[in-house]
Order: sequence, then C-alpha cells, then structure tokens
Amino acid sequence: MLVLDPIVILLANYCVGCLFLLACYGKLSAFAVFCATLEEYRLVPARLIGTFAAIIVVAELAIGFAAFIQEFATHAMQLGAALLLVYASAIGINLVRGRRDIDCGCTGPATRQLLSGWLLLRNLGLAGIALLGAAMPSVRPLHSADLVLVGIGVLGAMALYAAINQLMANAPRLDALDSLMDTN
Amino acid sequence: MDNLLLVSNAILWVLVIGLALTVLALARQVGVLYERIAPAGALMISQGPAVGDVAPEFQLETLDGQRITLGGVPQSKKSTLLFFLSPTCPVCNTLIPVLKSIQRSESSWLDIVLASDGEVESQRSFVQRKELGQFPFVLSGELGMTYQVAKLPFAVLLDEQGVLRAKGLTNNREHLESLFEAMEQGVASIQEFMTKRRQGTA
Repeated sequence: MLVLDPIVILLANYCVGCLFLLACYGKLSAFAVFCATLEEYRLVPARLIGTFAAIIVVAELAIGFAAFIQEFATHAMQLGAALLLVYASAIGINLVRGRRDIDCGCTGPATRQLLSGWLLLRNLGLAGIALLGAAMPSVRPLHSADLVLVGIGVLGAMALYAAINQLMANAPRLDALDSLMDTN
Repeated sequence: MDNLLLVSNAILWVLVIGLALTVLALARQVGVLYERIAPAGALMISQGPAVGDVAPEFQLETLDGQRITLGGVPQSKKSTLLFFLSPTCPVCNTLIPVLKSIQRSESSWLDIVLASDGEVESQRSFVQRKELGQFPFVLSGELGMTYQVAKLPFAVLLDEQGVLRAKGLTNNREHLESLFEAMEQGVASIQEFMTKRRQGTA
C-alpha cells in the first residue's frame, strides 16, 4: 500500500471533505431542482428519483463529515472516490448519448454547469485526490506548523477549484456568444 | 540555509494563495461580463411584443391534434398564460405542479397553454411522464422567436382582450404570481411598479 507523509493525506482528506459538504449544501438548498436535474440524466426510473436524490445527499453529508474524523477518514475517502467515479460514469454515459445540454447539478442550481469532457476529467481528478487521501500515512509527530500548512493548503486548493468550476461554467456562454455573432 | 528555505516557502505560499484567489476573481469577472453582455441579446426583446400591445395571432396545432388560436381576442373571454418550457430544463419541471395548482384554482378566468419546440416524440413522452395532458401543448419555434424567449422557463400573460399584460423569466411560484399581480396593478414590470410607488410617496 502507498505510504505518504501525513500532511499530504490530511490535505486530501480535508479538501475532499470540504468539497462534499459544499456540494451537499448546494443540493439541499434547492432539493426540488436537484431532483429534476437528476431526472435529466435519464439513468434512474422517474419513480425512484426522490429516493436516489436523498441517498446522494445523505452519502455526501456523511462522507463530508467523516473526512474530518481520523478514524473514519480512510473509509470516507474510499467511498468518496467511488461516488465520484459513479458521477463520472453518469456524465460519461450522457456525453456518449449526446446530451450535453443538461445541467451537471454538481453544486446545486446556483452555478449552472453544462456537461462536458472537462467535467468528466475534473471528476476523475477529484477521485484521484480522494484515493490519495486513503493511502497509509507514514508515522511522524505532527506540529502546529504542519496544521497551519494543511489549513492554507486547503484554502489554496478550494480557491483553485472554485476558479476551475467558474471557468467551466463560462465556457458554454462563450460558445453561445460566438454562435450569436455568427448568425448576425 | 534552513532559515532561507523556511522564508522562501512562506513567501511562495502567500503568492500561491494570492494567485489562486486572483484567478478565481478573474474567472468570476468573466462570468459577470457574460451576464452583462446578455442585454445585447435582451435589446432584441424590445422588438418582441411589448406589454400593452395586442398579442400577435398564431394558429397552432397542439400535440394531440387540436387547433388553437393564440393571441387576438380569445373567444373564451378568458385570459391566457403562455408558458414556455423544455424537457431539459430542471427549473421548468419544478414549476409543473405550480401550473397544475394554478389551473385548478384560477380556471374560472385563466387558460394555461404550454409551448416548446424541438422533436415531437421527446415532447410526447415528456407530456406523458409529467401528466401534462390537461394542458394544450404547442410546438412552435416561431412562437418563441416572436416573444424573444431567450431563457426558460418564460411566461407570457395575455388578458381576455388578447392584450399582452405581463411577461418574464419565471423561476418560481412567486415570479409566476408576480405576473398576475402586474396584470391586476396595471404595471408592466416590477421596475415600473417601484417607480410608480416612489412617485406616489414622493
């Protein structure tokens, strides 16, 4: 099994934890819209949409909190990676079907993000980070400086992640603008 | 040497976080710019029928084969809520129960007509899935073009004389109800309402 410095693992744990908590908050704050978004993926029978949406939200919440608790973190990371891979396959299936015009639903309806290959890539990357967080930590004492490092690392990573998401949400708008210019 | 590394590391961290935040701010600004440019498209809305105009007349066939007339003076002497939606718009889907309840409570003076465009088959299965059989459902790209529908869900309210009384993007029940409110108050938009109220109190 992969053995890494505890800092790397803590950083991965906390980042994935923040990610799931934020995603879960977005989904809960507009649950009805999330259900409708999930339905658009056309992977789950319409009758079971509510149940599946609830399962996803509860799973994200559980993974999000467990990531911050040392005893549960490894399992949380494994489950998180699995969930992210499920999302990636859901996106992949719809990309193959040619349904690019549906909303990702990743972080709730506040940021509308259409499906794209980049989104698939992003989810695979996130799953990789979650797996990194499930690796074995090498044993060494942690000092307060280490914790400060983890803190600013999480801050930097979340800012970058938000920037990447914003850029991905912008891209289809630029395309729409281009096609508008072409028709005029 | 250790000290130098420590200092250089600290400086690098500050720079990295600063850069990440700057990139985020830039990306947001680009996003806001796209929002602002949208009025270049919205300018075209003024070419569509304005509030107070008689709505242009359309002869259309519904999904189940009935002919209906939209615009002009309706024979039923009822108002019409024209609701633009699409099977791929999640917010539209959340408004379907609202439309059903509005139709139940307001049927004495209001007809609801759903409008969309695209493939007949996918729309049929959409109607079946969402049990929309009770509403006339028309497919017409021209209708959307005429009202300059750029974003969904979009609603247009025509009164019993066929006059356009309110229109707009409706993301929730309150937005829909604000259209009825606008019709009752005789104002075109929330902006006009605020202006009138300001003048009234001044």
